[in-house]
Formats: sequence, structure tokens, C-alpha cells
Amino acid sequence: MTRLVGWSLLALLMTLPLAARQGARTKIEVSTLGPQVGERVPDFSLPDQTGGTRTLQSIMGPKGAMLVFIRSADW
Amino acid sequence: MISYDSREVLEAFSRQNGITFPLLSDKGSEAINRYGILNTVVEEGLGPNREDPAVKADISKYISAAGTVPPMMKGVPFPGTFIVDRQGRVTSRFFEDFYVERSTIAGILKRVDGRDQPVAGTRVSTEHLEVSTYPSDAAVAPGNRFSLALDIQPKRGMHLYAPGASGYRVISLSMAEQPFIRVLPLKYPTSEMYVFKPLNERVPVYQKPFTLLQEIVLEGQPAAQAALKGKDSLTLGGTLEYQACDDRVCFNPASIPLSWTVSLRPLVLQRPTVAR
Repeated sequence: MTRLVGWSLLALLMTLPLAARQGARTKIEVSTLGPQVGERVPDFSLPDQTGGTRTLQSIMGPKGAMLVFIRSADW
Repeated sequence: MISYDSREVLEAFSRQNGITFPLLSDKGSEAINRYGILNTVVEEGLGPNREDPAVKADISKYISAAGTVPPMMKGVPFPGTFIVDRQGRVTSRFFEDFYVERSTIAGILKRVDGRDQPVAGTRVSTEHLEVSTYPSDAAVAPGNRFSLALDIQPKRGMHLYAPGASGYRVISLSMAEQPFIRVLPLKYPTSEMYVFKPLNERVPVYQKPFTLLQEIVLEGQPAAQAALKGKDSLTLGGTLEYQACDDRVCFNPASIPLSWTVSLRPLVLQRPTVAR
């Protein structure tokens, strides 16, 4: 019985922070988003402006690549 | 460069602006999502929590100073740059904290590997050092974050005091205040320890050539854009302060007035011409 109460209590404690977090908003911290230094970036296969398909491998230069994400070239 | 624009928009944009490097069309934002950099404030700003003060604060930071969220922004990333090696591992990354600000490519390269761009600069020589200083970019636009490099060569036998030295004037740059110019903390390279035996003193110094990097943000908010309108150049002023000693003599602290001029580029506001 005691053991059961113990487990329930533990379960309750584990759900508490989760419940408290619900509805609360995580502050945006752009430096923490996306692959960090030392991590591999995901591959991709996307059309370029000429209609050709580009992957991470195909844009690589001798020293690597620079991936610049912009909001839009349209507006 | 990767964006959620259609291939047609990117084709017109590259043609109209003479761009030859690959512009990738991530229509549907699948790659942007997979990279984990989707601008989630857009959803929030269009959703039930849009009046939440924390959401409103993030809207003005990451979407628009006007505080409104245009629905067409669904799917944009937080703008930023990854530099990866040939294995696809991130070696450095640059994300801005304010939506109107962007690091210039030359400014990023300067920060990453000190690569020199052919930008005209100033050379000054004193009895203690030689300094060659130049901006990372010959031309900047409102919202650009760029840098001023100071390549400093202590003269033979001289050392200059580095951060952490006490009792001496540490080398520093103080920039003249100017509207719409934000000065970021000066970046110092690693120094070396100088041991002065007669006093049994250990002090951090620079004795070999080194570079100080002063990052500058030319602000891009509407007021800044209005104030800069019609101007074709921008001049920044600053003072380099330092103290030099050799093995026998310590010289008085000295200062060198410096200035930098960059051309001002207007923002490209013309939309690519495509059938809409």
C-alpha cells in the first residue's frame, strides 16, 4: 500500500511540471534553434532558380558551404 | 540561400539583381521545418494568444515593428546563416535577434576566418605600433551588421596591454556616439602572458600582430531608414587607446583618433517581376 502511494506521488510529481508548462509559452531564443556548432545539418533536395535540383552535397565547395536562410526574396 | 519562395520568384530575383549563386526554393517550408528554424511567432501572432504581451513583444522583435502579422509570413524561417564543413557539420552559425538586422556576408567571413576583403582602409604608425584599419564592407544598407577590423602590429620589442592587465591601460576602442549606430562589444583575440622578472610580474599582453574586431549595427527600423534616406555615405569615428612598454621603458598611455567611411546602399525594395 505504502509503495503504491509512493508511486502515485511520484507519478503526480512527474506530471506537475508538465501541467504547469502547458499554456505557458517558451520564450524564443534564436541561438538555441536548429543545428548547433559541431552538429550535422539535415540534407535537402530543393530546386534552384535555374530549375536544377540541389542537395547539401551538390552545393559543397572545397571548404564546405554557407547556408543562408532568408525570410523571402519576394517582399 | 534558402527561402520559401517559388522557383519563379527566385529566378526573377536572381536575374534582376545579378545573383549567380544558388537560390533554393523551399516552397512548403519542409527544409526550414526540418532545420528547426521555422518562425513560430507567426503562428502565435495569428492564433488565440496573439494579445499575450510576451507574444506581442516577440512579434515586434521577430516579425514587424508595426505589431501585425501578415498571413503570407506563414512558413518563413528565423533568418540566419550556417557555415558547414564538407561533412555538413556546423562550424559556425549567425542568427539575428531583430528582424530588420542582418550580418553582411563579408562581416561574417571576417568573424569566421579573418579573411580580408579588398576594402580601402587607413594606416597609422606611432612609435609603438602600426595599425591598419578598414571596414568589412565597402557599402552597407540599413539593418546591416558589419565590422571594423583593426590589424595591429606592435613595433619591435614592444608589448601592448590586453584585457585582464591591471595597473596599465588596456588597449581599447571607444566609438563616437551617433544616432542609429549600435556599437557591439569589442572582440579581442587571445593574449599571451608577459613575465617581467625584475618585478616578478605576469601580465596579459599582445606582442605579435593581432586583430581587434569592432562590430557595428546600422539600425534598420523605419526611423533609421528615414534618417538615412538620400545620404550616400556614413562616417564613423573612434579612438584607439593603448599603453605600450618594452623590456626597459613603459610609455605613457596614448590614443589615436580613427575614422571609417562606408557607402550607403539603399535596401532593395523592388519585388521580383513574376506573373501574380
